[in-house]
Amino acid sequence: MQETLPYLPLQGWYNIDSANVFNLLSATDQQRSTCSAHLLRLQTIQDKPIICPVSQQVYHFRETHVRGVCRSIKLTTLRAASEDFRIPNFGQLFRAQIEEDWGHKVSGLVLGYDQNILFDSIFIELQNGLMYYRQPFHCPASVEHLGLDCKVDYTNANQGIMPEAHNIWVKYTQSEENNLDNTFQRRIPSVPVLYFHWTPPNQILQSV
Amino acid sequence: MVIPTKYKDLHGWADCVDGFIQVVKQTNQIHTVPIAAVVGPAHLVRENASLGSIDSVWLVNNHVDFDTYWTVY
Repeated sequence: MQETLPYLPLQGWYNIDSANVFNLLSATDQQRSTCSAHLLRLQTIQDKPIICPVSQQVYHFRETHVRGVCRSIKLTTLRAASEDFRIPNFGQLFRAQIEEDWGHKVSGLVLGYDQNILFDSIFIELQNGLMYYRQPFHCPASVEHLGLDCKVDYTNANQGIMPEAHNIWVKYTQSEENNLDNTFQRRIPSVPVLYFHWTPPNQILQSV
Repeated sequence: MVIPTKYKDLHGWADCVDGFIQVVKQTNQIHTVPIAAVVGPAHLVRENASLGSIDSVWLVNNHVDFDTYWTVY
């Protein structure tokens, strides 16, 4: 049927819709149609939300959490930790994290407002590793937990006794990513220096 | 408290020979991160491990088999 149709239209009788159906578009209309199709496709892509593919999670894992208190040190001051683990700006980093987690008021009540002070009266609880949950690749139907060690006992006194720390992937938020040099889809392979735990005193939390 | 890493070269392209992305430690930028931000173990292999220098280059193993990894390490 289509083969006979080119002979049917009369000179001067050209309908773009019919020509499109019968694949008889002129060169100009064909170009215009292609452009509009491209624009329509672009608009559709822009309207659609970008969905990142994620692997299907069969089980709801527990979040990674600290595994246990370090037996040999347990509590230490910020100053001692700063010296032992060679973190010169530990005071500022600690304050910034407390402000982020608990707010400016709690930070001020507990730590004071002197930015340069290296705290002797603040004790932190050292942790010797993390507990991480995962599905094994070779047995995906099961869940197992693994310990990620950190060289918490790595002090000048017992240097070399502890094994190397397990390196970890750290996921950053979108706002934090702007301050970072480069990431692997917002994740950065990192080397743990120290795992610690600290909670403000109950009296301060109740008063706020 | 963690020491983050950054790409060794500008764009973080994989090495043309071994196919791994190379990173170096940013020892001057220690971060405090919440435990919940730790998403799992990373396998970093030190290049030229015999040298043992602090500024060494690390390969990010993107073909890690964690069962073997945990057996070895």
